[in-house]
Amino acid sequence: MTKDAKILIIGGGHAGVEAALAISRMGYPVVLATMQEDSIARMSCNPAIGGLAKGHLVREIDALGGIMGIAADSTAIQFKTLNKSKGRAVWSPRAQVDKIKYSSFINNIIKKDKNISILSANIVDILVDKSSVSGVVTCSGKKIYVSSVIITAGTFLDGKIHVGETSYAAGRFGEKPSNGLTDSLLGLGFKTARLKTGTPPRLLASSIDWNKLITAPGDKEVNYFSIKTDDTKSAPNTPCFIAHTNQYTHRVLEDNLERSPMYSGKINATGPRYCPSVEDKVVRFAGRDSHQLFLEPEWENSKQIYINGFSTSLPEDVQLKALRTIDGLKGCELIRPGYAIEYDYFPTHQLKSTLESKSISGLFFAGQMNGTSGYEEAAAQGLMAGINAVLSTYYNSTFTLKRHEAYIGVLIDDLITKDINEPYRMFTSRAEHRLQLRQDNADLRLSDKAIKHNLLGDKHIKTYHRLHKDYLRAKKHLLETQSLVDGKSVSAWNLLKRSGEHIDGSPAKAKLKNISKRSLFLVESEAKYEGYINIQEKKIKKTKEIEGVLIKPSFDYRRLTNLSSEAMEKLIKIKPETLGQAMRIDGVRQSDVSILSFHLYNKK
Amino acid sequence: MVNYLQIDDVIIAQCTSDGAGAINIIRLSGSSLESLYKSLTKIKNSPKPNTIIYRNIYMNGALMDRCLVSFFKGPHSFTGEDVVEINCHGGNVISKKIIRNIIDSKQARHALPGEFTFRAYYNGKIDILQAESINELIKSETNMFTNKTMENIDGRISVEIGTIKQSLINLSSLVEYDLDIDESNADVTSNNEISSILNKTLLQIRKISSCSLYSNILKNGLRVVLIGKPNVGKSTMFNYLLGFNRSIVSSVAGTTRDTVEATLDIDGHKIIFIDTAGCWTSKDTIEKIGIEKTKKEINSADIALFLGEDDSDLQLIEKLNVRCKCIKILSKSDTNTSDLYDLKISSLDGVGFESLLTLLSTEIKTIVYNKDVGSEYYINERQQVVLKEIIYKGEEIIKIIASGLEKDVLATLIKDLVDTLNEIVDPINKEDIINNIFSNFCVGK
Repeated sequence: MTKDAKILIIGGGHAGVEAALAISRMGYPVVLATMQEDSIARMSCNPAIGGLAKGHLVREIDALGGIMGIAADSTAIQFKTLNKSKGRAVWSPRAQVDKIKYSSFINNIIKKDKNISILSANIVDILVDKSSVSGVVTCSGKKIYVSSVIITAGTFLDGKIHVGETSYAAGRFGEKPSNGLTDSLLGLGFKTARLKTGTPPRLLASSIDWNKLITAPGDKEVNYFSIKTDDTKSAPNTPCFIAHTNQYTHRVLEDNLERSPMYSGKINATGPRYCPSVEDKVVRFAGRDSHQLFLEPEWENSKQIYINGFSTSLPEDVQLKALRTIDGLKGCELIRPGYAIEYDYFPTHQLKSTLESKSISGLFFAGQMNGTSGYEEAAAQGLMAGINAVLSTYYNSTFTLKRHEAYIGVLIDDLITKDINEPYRMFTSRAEHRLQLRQDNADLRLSDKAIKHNLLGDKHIKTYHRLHKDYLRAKKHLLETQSLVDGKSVSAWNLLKRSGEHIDGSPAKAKLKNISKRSLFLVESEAKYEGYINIQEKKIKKTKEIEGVLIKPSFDYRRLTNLSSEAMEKLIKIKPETLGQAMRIDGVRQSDVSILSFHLYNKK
Repeated sequence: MVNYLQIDDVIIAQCTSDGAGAINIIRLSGSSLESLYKSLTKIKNSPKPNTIIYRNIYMNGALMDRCLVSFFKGPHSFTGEDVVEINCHGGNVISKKIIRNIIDSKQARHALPGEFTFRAYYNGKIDILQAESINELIKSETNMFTNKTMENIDGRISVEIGTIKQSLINLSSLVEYDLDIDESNADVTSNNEISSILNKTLLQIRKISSCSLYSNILKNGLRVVLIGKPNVGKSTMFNYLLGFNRSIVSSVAGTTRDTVEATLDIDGHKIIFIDTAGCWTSKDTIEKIGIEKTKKEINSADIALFLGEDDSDLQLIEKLNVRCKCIKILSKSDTNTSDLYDLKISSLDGVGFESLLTLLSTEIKTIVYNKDVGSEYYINERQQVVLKEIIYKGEEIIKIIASGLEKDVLATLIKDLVDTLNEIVDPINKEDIINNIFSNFCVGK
């Protein structure tokens, strides 16, 4: 174990590994504590990375040097970009991945990394000295002294699995929960609450009548996540399959609702509205007579099939009975049932925008225990927590992203200002500046910042600089190439702004021969969106100004006697760092913002 | 320097205008006025909110006046803070003395123009449109304008804008659903449906925006210009119309060398009458300037009243290039005759003035209630500009949807539309509001 490590991470999930790798890339030693070494970077739910808005997050993680993109590119069994008919700003890359290969890919890198030492232990206590972290205690009572701790405990904190009427303590299927850490954090004054999430059953591949299902192949032309992936190489394309529920399925589910722990009141936690259980869907969309299910292999040649869209916590016999009403699944067998998991999360108003605790310095929280849902959201937070742990431990500085700079910025800002009543997942509509935050320009938006913080390897930097140079060169050619359209001279750049115009048919095409596919796509998007983005510049300017108005932690809101009582309570509780954050807090009304902003501007 | 943002202070001002009168009202606003109330009235108990009581007002132990004093407890007051109003005796001395004493004792500072209204806005009691309406109401000179601004203070436009905003937000969520929730590539809401919803919303906005012309007339009034050769009796008619002597009336040609204005309230509308210099070729330079001014007045007039004495006088109408509605009046009908005029008057015995007023009133109504424009709302210039911008933006969106706009851009443009609409009641640049809106108020409001 690295003796001089000043940072320790609790949990080796998607948040934990991004944190560890970021710290290592910045050149610092780190301890990664996990309860089960072989479960590092395990995908506990769906066998896919990316998707709507999540694909954007993966691209941003990659541009900041993270592992998720390259791991997915290297272990995918098919790629598909979603929303392709709806405009490039919402194009979302998604990869169906081989779960086993995915975690071993990351495991290999972690194990080879000389800066990362793995500690197989359950951490049960955080040691604090004068409001600063001083170390942790393992379940065997061993004390480890560090100056920063990043907790990425996922769904493990007092985790409880529900399948129908039975429930038992667990962190994940087949894994023990982590008990004790919550109590330690409560003792330090943190607030906690419960959330729930679910996962669908897994079916035995040989029990499925594949001929009765619709084939769903991936894209032929692939949009890889990582800039480091050679985009000229061909990609695997293992199909998924589509099945449909019917009225018989819905009847089985409805008839057994009272046996669902959610409906019988056994689970008091809130689940995600956006990724509802199948019983939820049947109740909430009673008018629909069919729901689409995706049958996804969990790895290459997998005998275990994931039923995307059939998340449930109904008893095993009901799950099987319902599934067997579906065409193609009449003879299906369960490998394991779907289940719901209830866990502790820590409301994120307790954190700064660096993900460090507001009350205890050196203590960072990242991932699902912050109330988010999804691998990508977790990984993004882990990355940012890792970077900030290094900056606070060694440099006394911080690294945050603004809402107009990245979805990661939107994610963290939402977490610290909004009430999270259900697991938070990313949507493109959460971003005010969606047209800027495209997946195609993630490198341009973020890699210079990453280089400044030592987050990119030499090869990555070189690839990025080539992309950037190519982009500038292509833009120059496009701007300089004039052609006559309807009697008017138009630059090839402006020509691209017209709907249906592409680089392929551009008059500047001949000059763009040696430019990579990725740069050409990027330059084309930049041209197409330029006009609309300019419209938004004014707003961004105003946003920047508001974000620049800092509020001291000691600011006394009680002096502003005219604030609404709800706003007063929220502001005192959350203690926003800037006027911008204050504005976005739920329950803070426009009139409250006026009062606060007039006051702050006046004191400036 | 004192500015509006010094909200920690207690502010004071006289709300009534100077001069002789039965009473003056002094208004105070601040976060807590109970102790001030007690020290002014020498009453030990806290005042009961929302009451008005006969009290003696003391300063430094001496009785200043016997007044009616009201007390409103914030946030249930006009400004959202504690408000005290002192109804003291009128005249120029007592109220000034009370204010001076309170300011000298450092219990309050003098309010800036519109500062009470600013505090009401600041404390979320009213939106910016309502604040503007309050100022417009105070400055209103006619019934109609008063009624319309009252409606706006009550939130008439604010409510309409709120409804329109909600329908745009609903539209926005339909588009977002397609972008964020639905993973299939199909669209749940087609571009045609979006266009049609947007069109309906624009119709509502146009309904308000179409009242621009009407609103400008309501605020600025209609201009009625009196023209004709020198000494045809324009000034006599002008005075007759106004019912009092305003212009210099004499029988020497060209007495009215400059234009003279007077404002009347006809059927609740503000009507500005402009008496002009007589139009003839003159070598007199002062007269020449007068004629140039007359031409300018004709160009900006809504109605012209032409006064003539015979058939040939009418040629002057064309010479002066009168393009607005022109009523031809034969003056001094006791001596002059012609059939080419719309009506005949005689200032000597008042013949024809009633029919002139009737005709004028009809013409005013034709202009004010123009069938092509709305007359339902009053919207000021700032609001008109924002509404025009929304309509322009909305029409652009519909145009580009037709030419194949992608949903991600569409979503952004619709959100921008919502933000623009919001400018009417809650502008982004708050610093500008203070400078442009509240500083135009009078002190004490």
